[in-house]
Amino acid sequence: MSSSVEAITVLSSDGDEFKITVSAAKLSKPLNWMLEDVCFSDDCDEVPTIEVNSKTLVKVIEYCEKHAPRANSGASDSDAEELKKWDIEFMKMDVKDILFHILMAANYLHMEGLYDLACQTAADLMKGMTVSQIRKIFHIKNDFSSEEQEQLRRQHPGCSFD
Amino acid sequence: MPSRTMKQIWIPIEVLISIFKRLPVRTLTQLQWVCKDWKNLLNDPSFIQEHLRYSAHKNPSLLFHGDTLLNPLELHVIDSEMQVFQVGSVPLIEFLRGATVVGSINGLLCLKSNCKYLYFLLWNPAISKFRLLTREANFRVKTGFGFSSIVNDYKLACISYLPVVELIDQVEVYSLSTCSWKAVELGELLDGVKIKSDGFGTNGAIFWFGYKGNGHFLISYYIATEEFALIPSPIPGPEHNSLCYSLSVYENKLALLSHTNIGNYEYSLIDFWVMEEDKDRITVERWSWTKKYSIKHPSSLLPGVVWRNMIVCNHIDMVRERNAASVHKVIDDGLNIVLVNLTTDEFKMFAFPKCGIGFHVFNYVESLVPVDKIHIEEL
Repeated sequence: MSSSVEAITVLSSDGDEFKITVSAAKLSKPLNWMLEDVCFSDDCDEVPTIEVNSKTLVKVIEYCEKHAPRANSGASDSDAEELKKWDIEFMKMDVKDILFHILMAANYLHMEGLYDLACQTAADLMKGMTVSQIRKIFHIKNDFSSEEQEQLRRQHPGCSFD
Repeated sequence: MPSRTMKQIWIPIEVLISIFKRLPVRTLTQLQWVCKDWKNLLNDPSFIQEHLRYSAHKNPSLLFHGDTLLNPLELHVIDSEMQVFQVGSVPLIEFLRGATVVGSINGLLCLKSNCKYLYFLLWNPAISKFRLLTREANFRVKTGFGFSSIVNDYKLACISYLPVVELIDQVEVYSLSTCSWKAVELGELLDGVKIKSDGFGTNGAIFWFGYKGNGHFLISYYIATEEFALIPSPIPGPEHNSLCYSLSVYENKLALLSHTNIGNYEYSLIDFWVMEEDKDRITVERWSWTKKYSIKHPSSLLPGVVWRNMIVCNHIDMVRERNAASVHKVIDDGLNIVLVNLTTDEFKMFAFPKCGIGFHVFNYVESLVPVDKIHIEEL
């Protein structure tokens, strides 16, 4: 990789082009490997595709750019506090719309910090949900027969299918 | 078993596990109702183990109860954010008069009540599952509850001793996986050994204080091999003027906490020892103790357990009365707990509710570990 490169261009799965700085891209192992690959040298015009849709990729890159300075240089406690607050704001998003896409993208891009953050956000949301709300956001059908439901109801009085 | 979600997104099982392991047992119990796949996943031993490991790391809690001679057993838990809540009511409490907690491992509690019969209740309060064991009443018995990842089994050991001389007489062990009691061969090792405390289970063994002649030992029972060993103790046992001693775990190693009153109850001295075990050696050099910490405090602090980086102590003012034995009195402000921070040396006072004077404290973690079929692997 040429040392003159400061940002790289990637394609989303929708075919849109995105720029991401080298230091931010280093937060992802697969992107980091790509950086070492010839395709980012100056004389190469092939743009690699990342299997993440545009809407999600914007958020992922936003996260990377915010976290890159700290990841690369280490930071003081006050910076860590500030970053934590930023993470909380960053995760205030529509679950159905994008949270699971972020979760899957973080998994695919091996981004431990974002993955943990997204898992914790999903877990915190689920804590306050009813069974039927959870079925809805996960698009799951209730596959218990009425006999099985009756049996479960007897075993766990107080629990609810709804 | 991927679950379909949103338009083109499938959430693979390992991602579901990453989310689920962060959830409290209460929520997971509800999630079983979502669909059959989730029910199976949540009852899978490897998930139960992963959830346990995560909870033990992220939310190590404490379980405590007050004196049960006067009041029925009431258990409270304090979580890692210092929130206190009451544990659901003890099942079969009508049988369990004067019940106390013998041990707390991987979310399973072992309770003992010794009245008309000797009852043991093995109970996971988080999932409301329990098993009751009954033996003949025996007032000369020391018990201990432990888990071994090698045989993947929980065992309850009862050591009976002879009246007056306190010599070990008989050992019986109950295994959760075989659901049966078994007498254990004593061997020559335990000849002439006296037992002085109830047991503490950790790292695949159960430990009791004991002595033989002038030597003070920890009697250890290895759950997997069903063998005993005598481990030299770094401090004189309870016969000495150490008023209080207790076993706990620190960085996955057995820890020993001792309390000694100095002067005329002017201050107390707490020593904190950690044991290393070199399993390749068979002589007494197999075990070595390191004193990690020593602290003086101007009132009586009875150390209970190590929790996170703190020693949890019972805070008691000792009042000497003329012509009477020592009288324990709770200090007036109700702050009955002192947390001694091992990193910063700071003391933090804390009030545990409904504990009165003496209370018993255990490390605890909420888990899905079943009481009926035990098949958890390693923590």
